[in-house]
Amino acid sequence: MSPTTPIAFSGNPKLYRRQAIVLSLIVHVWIYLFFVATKYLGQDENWLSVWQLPLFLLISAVITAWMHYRWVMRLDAQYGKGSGWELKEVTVKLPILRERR
Amino acid sequence: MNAIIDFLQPYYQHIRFVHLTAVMVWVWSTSVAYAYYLLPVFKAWRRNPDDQQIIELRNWVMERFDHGVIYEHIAFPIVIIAGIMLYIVGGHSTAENWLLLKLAIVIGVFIPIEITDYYLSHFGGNKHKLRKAGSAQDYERGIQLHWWFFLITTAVVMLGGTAVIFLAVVKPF
Repeated sequence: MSPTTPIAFSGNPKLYRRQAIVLSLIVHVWIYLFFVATKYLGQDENWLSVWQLPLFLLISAVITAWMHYRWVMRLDAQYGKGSGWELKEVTVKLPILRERR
Repeated sequence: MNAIIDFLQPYYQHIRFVHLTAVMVWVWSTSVAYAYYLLPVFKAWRRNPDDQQIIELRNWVMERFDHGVIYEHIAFPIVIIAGIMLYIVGGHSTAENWLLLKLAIVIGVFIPIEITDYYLSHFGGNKHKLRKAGSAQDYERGIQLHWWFFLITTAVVMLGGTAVIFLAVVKPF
């Protein structure tokens, strides 16, 4: 195979922020619905009137979205000094796995 | 069902041992490779996207990681099967709130993530297979898709994994 043709990576901070919010909301809405439905079907308990659960999940969703965004920005080298790593030009031979017969 | 429960009942602690061991392998088996091999190279690539030496190293690391994740992907089905056995044999029910929350995270978050990870690492998204297929464009797209997967799931896995272990051990409510 010829050397890889560079394709621009489509990730950017704006997209990461939107993803973090949407993902956090989806996960927390799922947890709420799963919890309430299972309690109703399995225990015949009505948790729709319990206000502590949605409040807890709302706070958790905000914190999770914020942490997720910060995390992705660091992973994708958008934040941080990166001072722990040097970028020196070195050529090495990389071992490639031999095909099994 | 009662016959299965009666048969497995004496082995409850053994099943628990298998479940916990598999959880440890599932959670931690890729951590060093991910944090200290894969991430530094991918960060270098994101800062220098046209550097052919970094691209070559990135591709090598990614292919090795696809292979190394096998431990995690053998452990995960064991976690699920042993978990179902523990639920049945241990007399658990939906009355336990900690267990419900844990199940919601495992079913809604981890199972979809792992299905995607199986595909990216071993099936259609496997980078070794994509390289063998010969299309540089498809190979690059495969690598970038896997990087997207890491970006989206890393925080979720770390936070969700910690939450699941905390709920299982502390049983706070």
